Amino acid sequence: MMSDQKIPENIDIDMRGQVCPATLLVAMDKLNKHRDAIKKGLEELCIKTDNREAITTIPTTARNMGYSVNVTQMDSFYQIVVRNFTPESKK
Amino acid sequence: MSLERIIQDAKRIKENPSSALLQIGADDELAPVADFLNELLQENRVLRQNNEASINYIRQKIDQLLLVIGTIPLRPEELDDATLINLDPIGIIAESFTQILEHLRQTNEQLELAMDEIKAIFESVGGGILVLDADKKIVSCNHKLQEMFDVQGNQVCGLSCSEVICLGQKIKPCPFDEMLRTGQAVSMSAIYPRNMLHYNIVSAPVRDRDDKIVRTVMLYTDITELMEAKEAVANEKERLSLTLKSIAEGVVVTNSAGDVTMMNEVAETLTGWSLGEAMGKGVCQVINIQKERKPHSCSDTFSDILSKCSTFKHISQTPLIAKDGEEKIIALSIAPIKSGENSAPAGAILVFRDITQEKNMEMEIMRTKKIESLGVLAGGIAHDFNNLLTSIVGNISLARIMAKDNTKIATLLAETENASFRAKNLTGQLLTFAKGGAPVTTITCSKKLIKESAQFSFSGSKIKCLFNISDNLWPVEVDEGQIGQVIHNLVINADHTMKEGGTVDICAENILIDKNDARSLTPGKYIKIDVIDRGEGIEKQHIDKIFDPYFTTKEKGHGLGLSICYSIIKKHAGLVTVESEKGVGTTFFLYLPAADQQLPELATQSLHPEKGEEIFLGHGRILVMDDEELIRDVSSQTLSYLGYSVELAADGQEAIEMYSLAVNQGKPFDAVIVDLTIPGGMGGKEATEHLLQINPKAKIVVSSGYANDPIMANFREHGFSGVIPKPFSMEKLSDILKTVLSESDA
Repeated sequence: MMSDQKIPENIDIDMRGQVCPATLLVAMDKLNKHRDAIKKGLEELCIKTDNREAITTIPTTARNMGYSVNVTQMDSFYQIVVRNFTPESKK
Repeated sequence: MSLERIIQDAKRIKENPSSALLQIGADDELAPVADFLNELLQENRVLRQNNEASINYIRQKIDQLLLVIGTIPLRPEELDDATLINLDPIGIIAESFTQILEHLRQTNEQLELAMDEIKAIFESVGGGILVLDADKKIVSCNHKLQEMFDVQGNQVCGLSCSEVICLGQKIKPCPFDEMLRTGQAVSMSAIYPRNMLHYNIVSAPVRDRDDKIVRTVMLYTDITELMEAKEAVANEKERLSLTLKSIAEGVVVTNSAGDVTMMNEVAETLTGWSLGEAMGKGVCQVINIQKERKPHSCSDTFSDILSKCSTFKHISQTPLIAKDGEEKIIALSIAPIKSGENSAPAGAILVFRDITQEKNMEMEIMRTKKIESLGVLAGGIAHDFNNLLTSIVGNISLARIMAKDNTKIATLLAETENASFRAKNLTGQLLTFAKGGAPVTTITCSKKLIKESAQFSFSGSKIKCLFNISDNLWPVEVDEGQIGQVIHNLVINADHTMKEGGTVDICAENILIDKNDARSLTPGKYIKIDVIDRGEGIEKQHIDKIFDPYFTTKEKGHGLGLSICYSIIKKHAGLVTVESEKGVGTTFFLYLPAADQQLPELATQSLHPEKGEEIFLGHGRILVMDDEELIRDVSSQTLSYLGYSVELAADGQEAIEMYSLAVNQGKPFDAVIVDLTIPGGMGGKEATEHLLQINPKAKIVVSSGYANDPIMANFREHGFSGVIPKPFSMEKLSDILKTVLSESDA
């Protein structure tokens, strides 16, 4: 199934050094602007942040908006990936 | 004041709003300009205150929205007013809310759909569903459940399940309680006393966010029919097992891989494997029918049967080697187990039967038939030969007496006569094969018979006999002469095989043969005689043939000794078998049926009476009836020599006519010698009946080449006064006539 689809393009935002709620607002702004492409699975939002609050607020808000969210802890920051919701991504 | 100065002051006041307004004299010519500037400055101050309030309002609203979103308020230093306005957080949040609402709407739609689906499942599932709260109160139930337990859905909500389902007769354990105890879904089956139906009940918990069980879904499935079917299958299985247990054949069932899955008790007995041991083992290991030189290899047979196009197979005879090494002969049928004509076999069924006893019987029958066919031939030859010998012996007897002055000739003739009598013994042996040679039986003391016959046989040889005979050995009803001959032959055989001499053990005991005995004997009481030698033994390939006529391994043997033994024992309804090991020795086993009657007192007479050697002269008229001219001639001459006057007849008819004529003429015959068998004419038996009608006191002696004919054995029952088997010596003839005629005188 995946082979039929295009690999989604990343929208990268580096928010390191910035705190909530500015980080959240920027993330929401991107989700609003790229809404159609992300919902179609053509794009994914990839956020780098070192603010602990952001790793709660961004995923909660994105999920409320109907997206699927993955948070991965990297060496010195967190990477939050927001993508289209599919039944598989729920797992 | 100059204009430049006023403009400079106005700029300073604008930059510093708290500063006082322009101070200028009312009469200054630039006073109107200053007033205008002061108005503008005032207006600017108000506008600035309004702007600040608006910005604060916006920040307040943004913070409010951010709180709704779930985050902290914006700090003023984070974004200055211009950036704030430029970023447009309210727009962003509003746009995001659109997405959130859209998502909520979609989620609600999905929820509604899911609810509908659950509702459909609730009603369409085959089982009855009951939803209970934490207090076992009914929250809802589907139609199926209402049907099952005959309740109305709207009336039972809020009632306890024990009131509605169990009706006070609680089943144990309660599925709800079990689910609570284990904390997970449980499945169990139980019969409900309210309707005696069998249900399978699944009780599954529904938990809230705090993992507390708030609801329980109970699914009831009626499995009464299934359980009844299961019971029927179990009964059927039991019946099949009983059937298999009660049939006489061994039955083994395999799976498609050829491994044993089932076997009955007969199969266990025949193979020596218990079902437990055989289970899962390859069938060829359990039914070991593989043998060198045999065409039936188990694995070949099996790979064929388990192939797709396999059919029924029957092997009429094959050796089966049991677990303990015992070999049996079986008949084996193998059939594939198929569900359809073209389907691959799911396994195979093997049915086999122990035919060892049948095969032994068959062999016995074959041997008997061989001996019977020989008997027909032997009987005829012996009869003709005895007739010839009668003439030879008679003539030699006469010649010997005539040549009594010439000792040399008399000696030669005596030797010739002896040789002729030995030839008679050989024909006597041949006659035991003959069909008519039924044994002349008497109740006999078996111990005495065995001992005397054996002792007579080994006297003068290098062997000695050791007897081990039960004191209470049952008597037997046998022809003593014939059984004596059997024992004689066996002891002679032992003597021959033990060239250096040694001991022959002769044991005898009573045994009972039951219907399950593999030996081909009618069930009953028998005596068993073992003749055990320590000789060369018999080669394995010869052992099946030693009882066949003319089979011999001895250079000088004629191959009749053991077949005569066999024939005699068969005629006595007994059995003779042999076991032998090359280099160790041979044992013959004789089985003779025990007599029903007790031993008569006088069964002690000697078995070997001495033959008379004296010639008795006599007088009187003798009629000789014989179809053989040679015999008539020699009889005539011999009787004349003995002093009798002789007349001759060729058959019964002529003899009757001559006897009748003699009676009518007043010169009757004193004795008649009749031949028992006249080919194509009236024989001695019938002629005697007529002669006795003419003269009930007629003295008639029967003579025959069939020395073993029952009439010869029981001659008095047929009206004869004496018997003289052919060939006979002059002494014997004179003796019998003297005896018969003296009876007549008495």
